[in-house]
This record gives sequence, C-alpha cells and structure tokens, in this order.
Amino acid sequence: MSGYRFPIEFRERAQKALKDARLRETLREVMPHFREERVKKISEVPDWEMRRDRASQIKEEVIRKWEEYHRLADEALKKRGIKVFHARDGKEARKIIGKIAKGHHVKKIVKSKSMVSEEIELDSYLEGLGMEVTETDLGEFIIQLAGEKPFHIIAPAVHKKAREISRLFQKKLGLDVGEGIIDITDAARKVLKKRFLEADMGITGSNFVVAETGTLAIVENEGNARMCVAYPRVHVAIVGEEKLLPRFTDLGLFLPLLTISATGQRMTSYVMLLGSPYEKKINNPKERYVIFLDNGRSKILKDRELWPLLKCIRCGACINVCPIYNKIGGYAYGWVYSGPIGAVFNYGILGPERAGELPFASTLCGACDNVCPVKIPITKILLEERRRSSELFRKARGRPGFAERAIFSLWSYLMSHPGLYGLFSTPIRKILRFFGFGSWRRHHLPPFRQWSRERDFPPLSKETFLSHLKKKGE
Amino acid sequence: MDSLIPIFKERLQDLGGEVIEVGSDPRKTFQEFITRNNLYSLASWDTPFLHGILDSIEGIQVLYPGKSGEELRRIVLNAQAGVTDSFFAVAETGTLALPVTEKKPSLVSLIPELHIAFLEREKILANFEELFQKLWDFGIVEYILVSGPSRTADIEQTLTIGVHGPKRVVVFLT
Repeated sequence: MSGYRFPIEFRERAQKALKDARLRETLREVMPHFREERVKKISEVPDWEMRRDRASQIKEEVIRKWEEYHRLADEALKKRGIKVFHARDGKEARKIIGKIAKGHHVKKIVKSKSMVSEEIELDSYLEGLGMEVTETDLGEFIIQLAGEKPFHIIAPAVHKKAREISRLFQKKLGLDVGEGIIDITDAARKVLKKRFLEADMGITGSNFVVAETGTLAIVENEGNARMCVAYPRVHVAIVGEEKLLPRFTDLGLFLPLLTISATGQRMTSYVMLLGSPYEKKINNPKERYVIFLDNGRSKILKDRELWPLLKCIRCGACINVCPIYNKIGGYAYGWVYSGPIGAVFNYGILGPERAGELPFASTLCGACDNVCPVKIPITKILLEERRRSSELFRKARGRPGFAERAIFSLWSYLMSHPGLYGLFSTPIRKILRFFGFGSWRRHHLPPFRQWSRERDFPPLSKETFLSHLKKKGE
Repeated sequence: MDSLIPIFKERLQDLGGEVIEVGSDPRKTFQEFITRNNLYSLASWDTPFLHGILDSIEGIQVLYPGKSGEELRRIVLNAQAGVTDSFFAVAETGTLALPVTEKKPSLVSLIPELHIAFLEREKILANFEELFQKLWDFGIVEYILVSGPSRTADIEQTLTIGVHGPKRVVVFLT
C-alpha cells in the first residue's frame, strides 16, 4: 500500500487511536455491555435465525423493486398530507430544508438523532442561515456543546466522563451543575425543555418508512424525539432512500430485530408510528415533510457487488463486535459511519479515491456477518472493495516490480502443484530457518519488512504438519 | 391470555414500570393510589372510561385536553401525572400501544413525571408481530408504543431513568 495516499488516512488515524489510553479504556469498559445484552435477549428468541432470513428477504425485496416501492411510498405519504422531496445529494437536501425553514419563518430548531443529517452536515448549514439548532439526544447535546463528533453510532458521548460534562455545562451554559450523572441529566432536561417549548421546527430521522401506508417509525429511549415531533409546528424527517419497508406489518418483525441488535433491548422506551400532520387540530405538528436522501445510494444500488449495503438498518451490531473498532473507536474511520458497515458503506458512497484504505481495516474474522440482522455479506464486500482499491493502487503505482511478480508467480505455481509443493517445502523451510525465520521476530529485510511492520512473523516449524502427524501416528 | 399477564408484569417491571391489579373496584384502587402518592393535579385523555373513573374521585383536579394547543401544553406542564388508557399491550416487551388523537394527545403520556395507564387484561398480546397485525386490522392511526419510563445511558453508560418522558409508569390492570 506504500506510495499511495488515500484522503481518509485510516492507518495514521488508527495509530493515533491506539496511542490514546483514555479512548481505549472507554472502549474496553463500554463495548462489552452492548454485546452481552444482545446475546442475552437473542437467547430468548428461539426463531432468531429465521427472523434474520425473513428480514434479509424483505430488504432484498425493497432493493429489487426499488422504483415501485418508492412510488408507493411517495403516494402514501402525499395521501397523508405529508410533503415529499427527493434530494440527490447533501447540497440539494440542505437547500430544501433551508427553504422549508425560511418559508415557515423558523428561528429555532430542535433535532433528534439522524446519521443522515450528519452525512449532509445539516446543522452548520442551518446555523449559517441564522437559525439556532439544538441537538436533543443527551449524548448528541453534550458533544454539540463540546464541538466534537459522535464517538459511536448509538452512544455518541460515551467517551466523556460525568465530571467533564459538568464542567462543560458550566462553561457553555453558565450553569452550576453537580458532578453526578443525575445532576447532569436534570440540568439537561431543564435546558432542553425550554428549547422544545420555544422551537419552531423539529428535525428527526426515521428508522423505517412503510411504503404501503406512508408511516414513519422512529425508535428512542429518552423521549426527546417525541418532544421534537409533538411540540414544534413543523416536523421535517430526513431519511436515507434505503429506509423503506414494504408493509406496515413488517414493522412487527423489524422493530424488535433493530432494538435487540443495537443495544440488547427487547424494545426501546418509545416507538413513534407517525402519520398525517394535524393541520387544523390542536396537536402539533401542523405540517410534516419527508426528505429522502440519495447521496450516492443509487450508485450503490446499481453496483453488482455492493447493493446489499442498502439492506442496512443502522443497528450498529457489527460495530459492537468488530475487533478493529473495539481497539480504535469511531473517529479513525474518517466519516459518518464506522466499524464494518462504516468501512464498506463509506467506501460505497465516497468511492475508492477517498475511502480506499477502509476495506483493509479488517481481519476478515466475519463476526460482523454473524450478527448482521439483515445478513449483509460484509466480509465478501470488503474483499471486493479491496480488490478495487488494489486496482487503483496498481494504476497509480504501475505494475508491481519484477521481484514481487516473480515470487508470487512461483508461489502460486507451487500451491497449485501439491507434489512440487511437498518437494520444495522442506528445503525452502530449512533455508529460511537458517536465515532466522525459526523464531518470533520482526524482520528488517525487504520484502518481509512490510509484513513485519504491524505483526511479528511467526516462527517456521522444524517439520511439516504432515510429517509431524505421521510421526504421531506411529 | 392469562398466561401472558405474568410475562407482561415481569417485563414491564424489568424496565422499571409498575403493575397494579385493579380488582373489582377500579375507582377504589385508583383513589388509594392517589392518596398514597399525594396526587392532586392530573392531566387525562378525554374518554368515557377515564371520565367514569376520574370524575368521581375527590380532592383532585383533572384537566382534559382543551380547545387549543397552548391550553394543552399548559395542562400537561402543570400536571403531576398523565392518565391514559391503552389500546393494546405486548407481554414480551412490556409495551403499551397508545393511539394519538385530539382527545388522546401524546403530550399527556410524555410531559408529566408520572404516567398512569389503564389496561384491560384481555388486550395483552404475546409479541410485536401480533401487535402489528392487530394495529393493521384496526386501521392505521398514529401510535406511540411505550415500554416503561424514559431512560438514557448516554453518560458513562450508566442507566438513568427519567429523561424527557416520564420517570414512572404505572399500569392499572383491569
């Protein structure tokens, strides 16, 4: 990989993360909980594997009949008096939302969790229009105050200690807050209550959009998304194009699948199943908008190998089990999504030119494949993306040198001729052991130096496995 | 149906919710609860059943959704408890399915610190698949599915009950 620099310099960022002791401590403390709770709840569900199969099929159905379901969804939403937009990219989405806000004379906005809104960098755009935007998920609220990016898709402020947050509230909100977690939560509740009451517009994401009924399904635990929807007079939901489900009853399968996979909860405290706005009635919102975002998803849709990425329901289960993520956390991935889905999806959206190093952020252990509730073949896609990155690398660097080509040709010839392999393996091994390959070491001789940079070379044994086995048999 | 009740109780209690069996006289049970918890100011959904229970209780002020949004907001902000009934419930997850209409606004089960929900025991379903089949059969309206009090673990991964939604959920099982 030498000689080619990808804009998301994953390797450097990962190295930096590895040296960050506090980051590593946070990950060690926090991550096991998600994994353990998920496993516990799955053991209560005897037909879990069947559910995964069914969910995978349904999501593939959406992808197969993409145009049809999108047409259905648009119709159903419009029938409910919801205004629908399709934004090709972030720029278009921001403009649409800005226009909606200005049209309703919006000054104050409250917002609940939406990864898609991070994709399009919505907050800074709206602030640029002179509007006040408050992130209302407690974790997002905290990192918004701190001016940072989310650490984890489900737990954005998990790396911040309570004392640190208390001081942050003091500094940024002028509040004298105790250092206990309850003190902080109480303070946040008071501050946010005021923001909800005064907000003109609420922006949320949506976990699912039902094509046949135009229902938005939103899950949460704190109640802030309910506040964002029930208080302001205008509600805007921004949603990735892939979030559709065909039928209302599909939610009965997908909602528990999502909550168990994400945080090991049988169900989140709240699920909103939203329909028409209240126009002339006493409830809010009076108006509702849904913005579907493409931002490269249509490109993935047409991609022969990458299209399964659009099955993703954004649970984060793959992130929680990934040995790489568990060592380096989310920032190293350089964009909105992290962990296994981040590696493959960021690549799919940003392309190999920007995110080409990310598919290599994997040991191919396959833990992600095992936990994915919709059975996205992540390792298969990682390998495909690696292949594409290698081509890019090849184009940039030219053909590999003679030595590299010769060694690999020889090796592949030997591997495809077992007799020859058997014949040569013993003398080659004896020679290599003579040159020091019989013990654990870092090797400073090229080309082995490249391999040794990140892992020690294991020792070559004295005899082959076969001869060892033969000996044992005697 | 009977076998689902213990599961529902266990799952809701697991989430920090409470279940009170109403027995033969719902008004009496409710009156005792009100007294025990020093409640005097309630916001309630506007349904015949709830009027039947609440209007006869002494020593409390019950406000129903009024003529305007501002009035509704004021009512819920000043109430100690929000009272609703439930359309259906789910045993596996301890969930209450609450429809949202003008007479049954979402704010009543969201703003006051205590949410009191009346639930008919026959309405308890086994799981989410059954719930969504029922909601589909009855025709689509807006729903909030409530599973216990509000919570967060965003700070140091420590569970805190009671954020924006209620701190306490009490189900009166009739």
